[in-house]
Amino acid sequence: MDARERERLRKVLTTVGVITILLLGIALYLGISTAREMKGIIRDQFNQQQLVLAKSAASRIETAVQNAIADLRLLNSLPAIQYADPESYETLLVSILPVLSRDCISEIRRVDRDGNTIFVANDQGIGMRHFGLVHQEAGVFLSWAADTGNRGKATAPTGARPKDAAKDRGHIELDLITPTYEDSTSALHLRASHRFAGYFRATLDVNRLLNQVVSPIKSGKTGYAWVLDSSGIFLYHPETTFIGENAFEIRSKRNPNLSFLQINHIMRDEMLRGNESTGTYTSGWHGDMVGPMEKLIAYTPARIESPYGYIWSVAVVAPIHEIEGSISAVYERQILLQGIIVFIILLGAVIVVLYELRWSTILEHEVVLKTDDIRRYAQELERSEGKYRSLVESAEDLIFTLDRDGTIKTANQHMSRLFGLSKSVELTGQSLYRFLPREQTEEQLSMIRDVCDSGRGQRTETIFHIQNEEFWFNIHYIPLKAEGKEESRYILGIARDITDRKSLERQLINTEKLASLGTLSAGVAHEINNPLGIMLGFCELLLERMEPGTMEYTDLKTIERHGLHCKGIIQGLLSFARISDETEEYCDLNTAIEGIVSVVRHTLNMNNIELMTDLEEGLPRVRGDSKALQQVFLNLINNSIQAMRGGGILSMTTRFAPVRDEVDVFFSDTGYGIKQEFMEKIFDPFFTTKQVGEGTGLGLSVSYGIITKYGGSIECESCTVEEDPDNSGATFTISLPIEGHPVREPSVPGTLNSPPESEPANDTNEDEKTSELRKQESGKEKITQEKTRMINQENRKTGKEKTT
Amino acid sequence: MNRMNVLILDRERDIGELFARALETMKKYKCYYATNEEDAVALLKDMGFDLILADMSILSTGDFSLMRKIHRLCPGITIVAGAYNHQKEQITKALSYGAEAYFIKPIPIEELRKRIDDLNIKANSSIRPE
Repeated sequence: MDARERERLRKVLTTVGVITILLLGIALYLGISTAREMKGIIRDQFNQQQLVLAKSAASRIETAVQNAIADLRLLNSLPAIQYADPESYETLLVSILPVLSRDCISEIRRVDRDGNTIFVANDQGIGMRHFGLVHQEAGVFLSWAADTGNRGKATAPTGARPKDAAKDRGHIELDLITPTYEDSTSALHLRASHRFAGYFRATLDVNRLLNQVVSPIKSGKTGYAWVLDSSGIFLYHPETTFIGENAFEIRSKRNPNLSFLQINHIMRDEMLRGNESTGTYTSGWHGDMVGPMEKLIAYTPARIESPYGYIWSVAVVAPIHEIEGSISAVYERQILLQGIIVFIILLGAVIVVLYELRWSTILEHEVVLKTDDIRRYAQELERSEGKYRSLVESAEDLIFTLDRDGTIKTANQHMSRLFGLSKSVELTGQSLYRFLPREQTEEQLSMIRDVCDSGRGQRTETIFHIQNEEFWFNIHYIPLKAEGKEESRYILGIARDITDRKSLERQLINTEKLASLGTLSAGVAHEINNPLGIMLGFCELLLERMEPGTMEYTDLKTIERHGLHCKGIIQGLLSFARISDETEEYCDLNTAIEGIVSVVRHTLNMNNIELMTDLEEGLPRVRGDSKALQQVFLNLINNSIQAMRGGGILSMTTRFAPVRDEVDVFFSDTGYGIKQEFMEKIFDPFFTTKQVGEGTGLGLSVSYGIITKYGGSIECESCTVEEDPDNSGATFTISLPIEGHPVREPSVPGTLNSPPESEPANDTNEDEKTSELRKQESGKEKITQEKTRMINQENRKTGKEKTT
Repeated sequence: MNRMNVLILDRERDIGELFARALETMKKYKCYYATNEEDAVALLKDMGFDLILADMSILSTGDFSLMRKIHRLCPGITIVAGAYNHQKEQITKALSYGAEAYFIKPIPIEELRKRIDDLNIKANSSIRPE
């Protein structure tokens, strides 16, 4: 991954991360707000419950007060109370006190219209008038009771007050009075006077009452209720020390560090006004736990009968944390779970991303490796291809691909060179028809089509004419299968130049032919020789007895002549077959020539042929038998004589060639020459231009055999009358290695001594080959036909001018 | 003049006839011919010969045993072997076994006469041929 992609990835990751965090935040916020909402709802619900509690408490308080008032009124309606007859009310009191006590009335008092207590009954007993004015009743009581408008009513003229302010402010009482009128009748009072008789007062033991009603109130786990009265005094509080204290002050006193604004506000503005509602406030403690504590409060007024709207307010409070605690717990758990899930998801995502990163890194790495591999393979392939290309190009064979129609697809260097082009690219796309004769191309193409169709390769040996030269090729055609197809469009061809082999083969065949011919000849010759000898012998005998001139003599002569002819043939055959009787290993050429000259001089003279000899002095001896060499010379001379009908010049020259360690002998005549087309054949056995019966046709081939046997060479140059009338003739050049020269093996046909040459595959003229060899071996100076001609011309100037 | 006895030994009767006729014209030779070893031996036993012209193939049978016989039968006889061109080793061997000279067949009769003459055989004299 490159830097740019990494950057992008980082951006993407960052964006994703931010979005995730944002989402998380939103989720969190939503969770929290939901929680809060739930909390609120719960709170409200709870508060409502608390309110219900409070209300029930309040109503119970009211009921209790109402009960007390009912009791009051009931008693008030009793004549015993109205008339305050001591005897009557004593018993009454005794019996009703427990009842009253049950209603939390701690004391009843009958006060007369003057405000004097008639009697008091409480847990201490019954107190009678004779205790005197125990309590100075608040004037307000009497004045209220005296008000005729209040007749029949009950009221709490004052609020709840401590029983004994000095001693224990916590002991709260509430007075309930009802004006007493003598309305009832009894046995003693048969007639109701309906006079105002004072009032009847019941004192509620507020503590007890509230304890009964309020203390069992449990809100939640540790929630409780407390009661305020209109003056802000705690009438009841689980914190018993609070009871009777000023609600606004006692809290601060207890925990001065905290601010109780909220609760004070609630108390003052809500509760004391007799409102019913719910709310929250912060308290300084809760039960045993000290510390700022948020609390839920539900309050409701309990209306006390009073002349001025005296109310008690019941509050039910519970610490929020209790309620919310569980909720919080649930919510926290939920949030935690959510958080965990989100976290897991995130983690999963991160892991996936990391894996992806790792994976892509690994992939990248792999790709790099593979790219390297590929590059390496590509290089290797290139190298291999280069190797094979160079192989193909440098091959000495023709390597090419062709299609069915003969269009060259590819070709190697050798092929283009062969076809005469400089670069192999030039061959591409060319048709084979352009380079080969039509029939040859057709032949190859039909084979190629065969190969394509059959899908099998084929071999063939065939001759091609390329650029006016003949070549033999051994060609292997291989079909190139295109993928998936059965038929090939192209073939691969590998052609080996076997021209040399062919020529060697031909030579070999010729040699074998010659050898078998020779063997045959030898056998035949032998067979014939004997009878021939006998024939000639008897002929000779007869001739001795005949007179020359007689017909018998002439006839015998004819017989002899033909017999000798046969002998000549036999001899030629035997020589040809290499059955020889040489005895010499080395000889002196000059001597041999002189010997032969002596033999032929007469014949030359007879034929009007001038003889010119130029024999170098001091020639080293050469390999060879003089008789055999003389046979060769004789043959050449005879040929020359034949060629110079009417006369001419025959010259013989010997030269020592030190460079080659050879001696050259030149036989040159001014005859009618040898036609160019015959030049290649003159050394072939039985080749003759003479008339039938005039010659055997073996002379030159035998001579050739003899010379080459001694490691020499014989060549011929000629110019015919047609070509150049003035300079016609033939020159035979014989070269023989000198004595002591480590001679190479004679270039006998059939031996593979001469280096292969890409010569046209005709019946190879061995002499030309040998001469080629000699030419190649060293820069030779040869007396050519030209020079011979010059010599001849010179000779001619001195001698007779001959025309043939 | 004493005529020398010449034995011509050749499988080919006509050659014997030919050589005999050729030599007899020279008047100093009396020729006989045989075509096989037995006949030759019989003749040798019968009479003395001065010269024997023997064909190599008969001469060389049995490792030239005939030559030994001839020497035994006619000591001092001149043996001339007639051989073909290719029988060189046999010629050498024959010479080493006591042949005086050799000629190559076919040989013209004139040359034969000359060669025999050159041998200069004078009844048991031996001169090497040229």
